[in-house]
Amino acid sequence: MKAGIVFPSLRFAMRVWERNFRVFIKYWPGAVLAYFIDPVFYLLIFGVGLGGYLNQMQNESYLEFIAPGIVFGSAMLTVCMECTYGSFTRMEIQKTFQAIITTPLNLEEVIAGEILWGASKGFLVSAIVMLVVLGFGLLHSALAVLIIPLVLLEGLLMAAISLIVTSYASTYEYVNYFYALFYAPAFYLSGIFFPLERFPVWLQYVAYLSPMTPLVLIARALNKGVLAWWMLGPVAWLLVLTFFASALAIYRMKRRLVK
Amino acid sequence: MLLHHRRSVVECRRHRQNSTFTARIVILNIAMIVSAENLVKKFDALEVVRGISFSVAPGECFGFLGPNGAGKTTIIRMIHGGSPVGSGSLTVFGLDITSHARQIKARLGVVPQDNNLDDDLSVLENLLVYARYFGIAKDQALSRSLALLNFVQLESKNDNRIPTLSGGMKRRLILARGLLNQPELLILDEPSTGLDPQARRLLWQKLRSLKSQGTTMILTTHYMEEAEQLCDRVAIMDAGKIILQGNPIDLVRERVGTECYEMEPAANLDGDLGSRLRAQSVPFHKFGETYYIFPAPGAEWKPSEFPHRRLLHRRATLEDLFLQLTGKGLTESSE
Repeated sequence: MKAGIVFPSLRFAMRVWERNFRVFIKYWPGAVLAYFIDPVFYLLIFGVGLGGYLNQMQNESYLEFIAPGIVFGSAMLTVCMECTYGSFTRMEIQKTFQAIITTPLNLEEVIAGEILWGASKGFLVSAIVMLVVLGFGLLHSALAVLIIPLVLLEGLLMAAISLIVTSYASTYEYVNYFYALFYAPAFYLSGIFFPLERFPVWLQYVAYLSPMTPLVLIARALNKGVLAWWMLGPVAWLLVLTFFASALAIYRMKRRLVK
Repeated sequence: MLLHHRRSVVECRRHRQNSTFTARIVILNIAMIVSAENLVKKFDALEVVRGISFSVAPGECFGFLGPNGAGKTTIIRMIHGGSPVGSGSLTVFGLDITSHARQIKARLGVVPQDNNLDDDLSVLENLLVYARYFGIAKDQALSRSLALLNFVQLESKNDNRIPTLSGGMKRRLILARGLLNQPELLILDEPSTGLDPQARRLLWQKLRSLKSQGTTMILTTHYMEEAEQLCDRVAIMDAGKIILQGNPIDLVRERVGTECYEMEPAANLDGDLGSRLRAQSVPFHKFGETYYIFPAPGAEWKPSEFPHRRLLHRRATLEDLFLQLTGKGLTESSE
């Protein structure tokens, strides 16, 4: 007889979020500095440096083209790091999950709390990067601010996917497969660095499988001041993916930890 | 709770027709802190808990005693909801653990076998954050944490990082953590494993003082001395079953007597000692090179007269009882 899976309570899940937040604020200056420096170099190297050799594309500079992608590029990397290496450490090395589930919280809420926390960290990173991009004068529309809630949704999805991977991990090295086989293709094929039309057709189809592609398309449009109905399609797709990835993460973790 | 109560009342009525005594026992059952009936747990094909029944009364310290692999930790994990019940029934505070885990866990304190303190947080923060999991208000969490750090003698370590603590300090901090929600039942899985004798005695002292305040406790151990010092009742386990239950001191007195001679006979007299003991009907068992001999009070047996290499006279312990019951030591694995 296996104990069934219950729907996590947000109130209890937030207590796990609070725990992670409490650890984060102990070391926040270093983290925030890193979040700040990273996009600055991205924009300098890819935009000012490399971009100088590139022709104008679609009536905008290369720097303007990549700016919206940069807003969530490093944010998603942060989310994935948090919910692979970070969560693995809490689960396997520190046994924090096991300690928490002897309190009124259940494992469903621990995993939901981890997903919410990962997404929140991504949200913070993207907000900081947004300021940098603004500082470079690359935001052309107030609508660009809508990228931030989208990053939160994308963060929930990437956090859930990362936790699915973590649920299979036996060592830190296992996580390398995730970065090689999933994260790298998902990131580099998402159209952050050049338009998808430059790919051969078959690769374009693959690119559309990346959970980051919908966000790149919407973000780039928003920065041009476009707000359109077609955007609801990719958002709905992300919502569906997020729901199923979260459910699978919880199911997998339950199988791993509750025996 | 209500259902449980009603069932017990029905049983009561049924029993009352036969005997008032049985009825009284069933009524007492309602107030049991933990009650398990025919509990079974399988991991795939391996049955690690094989149909055990026990109950723990309020204020009692109940110990599960047995070698590694006997199923002690699995039982403990089922009681705090960390492991789903295989089959049989398990109620805590009169509530079914499978359907009421959250309510039960709110009233439990758990001291796990692993030192799963939060390495990312300081000593005091460990308690404050843990208190939040129970929804304890911030000011109350702080005052309770400080009082508990005082109780476990860690008040000077508030800001220390966890890796800087000694093994004994970590165990005491985990004990303090388990007491934050002022639990009605404290569950301790091998509380003193890996501690040096001094640290172990300090921990026992804390547990005894909790016991004197009326805290109900369940613990697992493979240290005889721990069980004898702390437990009102023990369940001796081997290979997933309870082989004997009762007060540890009474059990030893009834089953093995009060004293024990450990003897290694002189080199060529090994078989001779065994037949001599059998002839005089002195109970004994042999383990390795050593004979463990348990003469009845006033027995004729004079061990010092028998040629020997080593002789030790001591009081009989639970370890002797366990050896007698299972033919092996408590520190050996049952697999």
